This record gives sequence, structure tokens and C-alpha cells, in this order.
Amino acid sequence: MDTGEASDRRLVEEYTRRLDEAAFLVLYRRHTPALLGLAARLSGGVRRDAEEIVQEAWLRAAGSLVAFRWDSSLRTWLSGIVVNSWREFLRARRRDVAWEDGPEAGALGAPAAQRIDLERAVARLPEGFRAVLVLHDVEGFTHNEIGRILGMEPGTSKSQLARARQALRRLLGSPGTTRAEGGQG
Amino acid sequence: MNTEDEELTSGERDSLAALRQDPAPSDSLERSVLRALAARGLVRARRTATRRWLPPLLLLACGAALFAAGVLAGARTETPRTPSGLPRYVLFLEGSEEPSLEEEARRVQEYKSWARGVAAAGHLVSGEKLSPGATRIGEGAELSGGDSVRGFFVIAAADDAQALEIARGCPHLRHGGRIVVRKIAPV
Repeated sequence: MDTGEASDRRLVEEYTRRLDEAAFLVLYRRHTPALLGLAARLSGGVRRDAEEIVQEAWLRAAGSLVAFRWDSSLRTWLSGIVVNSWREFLRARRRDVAWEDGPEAGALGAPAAQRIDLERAVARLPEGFRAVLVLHDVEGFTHNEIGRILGMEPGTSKSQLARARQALRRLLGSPGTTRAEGGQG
Repeated sequence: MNTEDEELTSGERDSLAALRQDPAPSDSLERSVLRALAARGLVRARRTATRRWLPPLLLLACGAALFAAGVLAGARTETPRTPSGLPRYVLFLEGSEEPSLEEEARRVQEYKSWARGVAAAGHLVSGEKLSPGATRIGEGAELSGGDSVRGFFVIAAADDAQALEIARGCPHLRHGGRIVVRKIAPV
């Protein structure tokens, strides 16, 4: 996950010292494509939702950058904020409206004669499984990094990943599957 | 993908890796983020050379106009306004977890950084951290309460919505605190 840490540090310092817009924009443009991709994969590929999540994540990050201690890379830290923003986005949406065609509505219980592709299957995984699987198998984060992002032990991340993969295989291959296993959010 | 084994097959690994296609962020997202950051006082545009070399006479004229506006605004009996002509609001910072001394020092810097941004955007009037405890006088003084306010900021905002937007950017909310936003009333 090399994103030019020394350069990130200089830019963060410049931004936090003077709230410099130019420094912020360099950071924003450097990291937003990956963050938007992560948000899109977590939110089932809905671009509007992904943009809302990324915007919220940047607002939180900008307010907290002064307290960032560099015990991970900036990209890892920002990814954690995206994951948290996504979780809150899901919670808010559950409060506001029932899922209509979202990842956890009737999809899991639907007759699986319908062929579902990998992306849709990932989107149908329970929240906790989806986060670990996307972060590890798609984004390429290590279990240590995922532990920091999700606030769990690396061993928990590893066991969650194994269960997430099993759930994904069932979704893709077993027509009678009605529900994947829980997954800790 | 038809095994129950924990490890991915090479085909599965390739399929999942292929999902990693990062979309290009839209210009509207960038503008939206910058607008929201500016509203919360979290970004400040770099001064341009043109602005640095504004003729001194023009600056004097602007200062005089602002001064006149402030005097006129102060003469009216309506919501008190800052020299920039905006209504003022008080953000009462209540509660929040008790941090360690080290954490508190870090948070003070965090709050200061936010306040600097709000000030740079022309919205901050004043702010103070309050010591614990409160002394009550007057009728009902024996009742408890009133010491939940840890500090306050006085800000200037165009309207209630902007005041709330600024308040939402305050780091106090991230540390489990509450913020009560009150508009300063006409006297």
C-alpha cells in the first residue's frame, strides 16, 4: 500500500498547520479513487451511495488529521474511516427505510435459480463478512491492517474471512441457500 | 468457487482481484467536499498574489465600509451581528468522556485546530473551555445541575442551517459530547 508516505506526511502537516486547501486537494486527489472504489464495493456498486460515504469520510478525516499518529499508513487510516462511514450509512438507511432491493433484503432468500455474479454476491454478504472479504481479497490489506481498521484482533479477521469465503461460495454455488452466516459487524 | 476450503483457488483470487477497479471521482464530488469543508471551517484557500497586492487605498475603503456597517448594525435592535453582518450563535459543549491528561492535551490541540479553521472562514467570534463545577445563586440554587457545559464557542453564521453545519464539524461530537446550538436573541 505504498502511497508515498513521506509525501503524505508533508501534505498532512501543511494542511493541518494552515488548513491549506491546496495541500488538502493533493491528498484528496491522490486517495479518493481508491476510497471511492472501496466505498462502491462495500455499498454494492451504487455510485451515489459511494460518493456520499466518501464525502462523509473526508469530512471526518479532515477534522481528525491533526490527531493522526501515523501508526498506520494514511491510506489504511482513511480506509478505516470509509468503512465506519459505510457502517453508519447502513444504520441510517435501516432507520429511514426498509431495504427494497439492497444487499440484505430478499436477495439472500431469493430462489437461486437466478444466476448472480460475483459482485452482486459480495454485496449480499452480511455487513461484517463483506467488510473483511473486500478489505482482504479485493483491497489487499493484511489481517493486521484489517484489525486496525475494523477494531478487531488479526485472528478474528482471519476467521471472519474464512467464514466470509464460505458464505460467498454458498451464495454463488448453492441454489437452496437462504441465508449466509451472521458475521460480526 | 465450489470448494469449502478456506483458501482461495487461483481462479477465485483472480476473480476477486478483478473487482478492484477504482472509479474516477467526479468533479461534483470534489466541489461538494470542498464546500462542506469550507462551511465547517476545515479548509482555507491559499491567498493569491493578486489578493496580496490589493491597493492599500482599496483596503482602507473596505475597512471604512465594514466599520460603518458594524456601527449601523449595532444601532438596530435585532439579532446581534458581527461586523461581517451575520447573526451569532452559541455552541454549548456538554458532556463527553473523561480523557487522560495526555489525551486531553491532544484534544485541546484538535479543538484549537478546528477553531482556527472556523475563524479563518470568518465564523468564529470567541470560545472558552470551562473549569469543572458550578456555583449556583438565586432561587432554586440548591438544585443540582448546570455544570454539564464544558465549554462554548460563539460563532457567526448566515442562518440556523449554517450554524448547525459548523457545529457538526466540531471535534467534540467525535468524543461522545453533545453540542447545544442557541441563537443569540435581540436585546
